[in-house]
Amino acid sequence: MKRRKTLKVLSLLLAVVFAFSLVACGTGPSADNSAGSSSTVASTGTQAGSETTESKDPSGNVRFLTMAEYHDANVKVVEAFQKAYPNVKVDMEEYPFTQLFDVIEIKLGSQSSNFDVVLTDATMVSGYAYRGFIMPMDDYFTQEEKSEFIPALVDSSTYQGKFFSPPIKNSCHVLFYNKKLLQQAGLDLPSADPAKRLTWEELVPMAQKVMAAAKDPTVYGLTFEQISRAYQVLPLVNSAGGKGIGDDGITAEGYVNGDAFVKAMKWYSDIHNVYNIAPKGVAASETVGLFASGKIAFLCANIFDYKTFKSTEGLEYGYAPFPYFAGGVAATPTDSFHISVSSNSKNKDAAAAFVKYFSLGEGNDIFCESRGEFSARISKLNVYNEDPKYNEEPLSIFKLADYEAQNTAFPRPKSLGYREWESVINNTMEDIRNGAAAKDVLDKAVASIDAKMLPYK
Amino acid sequence: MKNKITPYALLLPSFSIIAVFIVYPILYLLWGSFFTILPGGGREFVGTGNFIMIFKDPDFLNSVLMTLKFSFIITPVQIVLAVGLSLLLNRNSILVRVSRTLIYIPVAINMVVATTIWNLMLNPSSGVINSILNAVGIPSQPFLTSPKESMPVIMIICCWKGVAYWMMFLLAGLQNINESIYESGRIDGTNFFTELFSLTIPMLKNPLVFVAISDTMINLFMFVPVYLLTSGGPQGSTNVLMYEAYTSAFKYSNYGRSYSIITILLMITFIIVGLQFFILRDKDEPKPNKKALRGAV
Repeated sequence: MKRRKTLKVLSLLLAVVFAFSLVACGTGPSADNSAGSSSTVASTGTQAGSETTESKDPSGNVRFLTMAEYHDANVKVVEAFQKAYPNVKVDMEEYPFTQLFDVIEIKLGSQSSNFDVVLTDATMVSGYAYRGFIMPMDDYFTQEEKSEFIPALVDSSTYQGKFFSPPIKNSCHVLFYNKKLLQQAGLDLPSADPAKRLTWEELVPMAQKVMAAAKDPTVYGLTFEQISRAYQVLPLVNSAGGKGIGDDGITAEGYVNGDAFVKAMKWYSDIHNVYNIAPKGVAASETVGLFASGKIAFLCANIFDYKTFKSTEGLEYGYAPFPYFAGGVAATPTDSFHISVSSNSKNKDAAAAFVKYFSLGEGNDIFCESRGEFSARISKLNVYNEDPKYNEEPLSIFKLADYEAQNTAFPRPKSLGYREWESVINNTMEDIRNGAAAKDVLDKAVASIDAKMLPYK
Repeated sequence: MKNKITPYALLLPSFSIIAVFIVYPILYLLWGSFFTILPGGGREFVGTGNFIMIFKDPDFLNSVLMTLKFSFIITPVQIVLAVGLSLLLNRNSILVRVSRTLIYIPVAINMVVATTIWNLMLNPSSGVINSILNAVGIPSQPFLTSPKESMPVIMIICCWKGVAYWMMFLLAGLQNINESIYESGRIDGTNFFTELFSLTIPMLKNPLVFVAISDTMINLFMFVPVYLLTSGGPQGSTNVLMYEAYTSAFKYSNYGRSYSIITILLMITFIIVGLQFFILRDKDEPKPNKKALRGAV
């Protein structure tokens, strides 16, 4: 009897273990490298570089954790870097935008020394520095070199007075429009002059007219490239006079459920659920393609998309300044990508040399020109205003970007708990887009953010 | 002496694997739930601080509710469907064998691939399911963007993926039932229902207990469809504990919070599985005579 019972207990135990193994095999997230792709750019020459302040002679391997969408530009930068620094070999490990930040949290959180250089979103600099993921770069950048960057971006790069992460690009958003669709609806083309900026309220009837004239249920009036992402949608709140979070980077009450936030999100809901001028169920990754294929009349998008639109056969597009709310202030999305050295890197000098090459001088020029990016360097901004080629379309978009950067740009909030805040806000924006009552879900978002900010209080 | 050691020696490999892959991670998790990560990567003992923090978080409380809701609805549905399918397919014709293979195909498809295919089919503007609905005059449905529809949709996907798997265990159990038992029943005048509830189900008890417990555990730990389709939304309607733990660890780097959530999930699992063991235990088994056992020793 005893033996029978023992056998029974053992068999049940094995059943439980088997079920646990099923769970482990079937549902656990994989933290290996399978989602990313790794590539090595071969060194092709031995020509000396033109760095100005680098005194050391770095050597060895550098592993760069970066975004797959930047692959072509990254390869060009790495090739040029390896010509300038023939003793350094750079490997890239690339992940799609939607996975990159989770991967960084996992890999750097494990204190792995496998990565030397990390692409860093501006809002994450303080969080990574706080957690000890990245190291200060003050020893590698002179004050003069730091002053080459736009001051607001140096501020984004700085945590507790230390310079951690130089910017490699700035960003600016405009309102792209499809000329054919607007002309078909008998509308005047919007001006690129910031003084004649459209309001969001004016844009609604224009979009409705376009949709009525198109007589095609797959054509929509308006959408955002980064739909339901704080990066692009939060400026609606800024335009209505609100902020994403309190100045302490922690307080959500009164901001996330404040009048301005509610007003902006009510409008955001209305364009999807009342006016029906914006498509629902379309992912951020689809919006540029929809505009390029003539299915969207107005697209709020990053200026670098001009390269895609310029090369799209049959697409006639124009651009205008990012709209604002009547009675409010002009507010355009901005923020930068930065590049950092991992605190656990075993080859900090070589990594710092790569970071410097990527953010200043030749490497940064290659990156920005390859992708059509808005530069983070003051000397380059001067070029936009002085070089006559930037007076003509499509490059004149950089002059508008320069104006917006100096006058209307609203970066995302700085907070040690930015990832928590952004995650809640993005989900809330998507819920509002899908028809949830703005005030109700914003109140819930406040409770959620408050709970998640407790570790930072 | 040799006879006393041999059984333990034979059990040692299994128990070593259990110790390394089950016991150690659980103990590590329990230990880690009492710490918080400090700036710079260190850890600080916070006692029950993480648990107090998560019980103040409305998202965590909602995710407990969603996990239980998901598990309590889908597990019986999957078991009933698996029993039904196994009864239907417990024949030996070519048609049945082909059907069995076809029904088993979803099990062989990787969960990520299967979920991605469902995502494409459920797309509100270009998905085939809404196209079919539109063709018969039904408006497009917000399958993954409506808080009322998203959880049922995930349940349907999990059923599609999992039912055939559990069916195979039950089918094996059915095929072990001696046909003469049914013949005796028929002589006594049983109909389909008395045969099902008085003969088949009792004879299937052992595989059913295994399926019920394993299925419950897998459903409590469901993650992939939520991660790929809804990210816990809309309005938290699919935010199960596994996803909440994932976001804590891998989005917020708050491992203490994540460990605490998984600790709670494990406790819920042990309670439910314990109850299942208790309810489904073999009540007819005679209890051991303790006096006699003591005498034997």
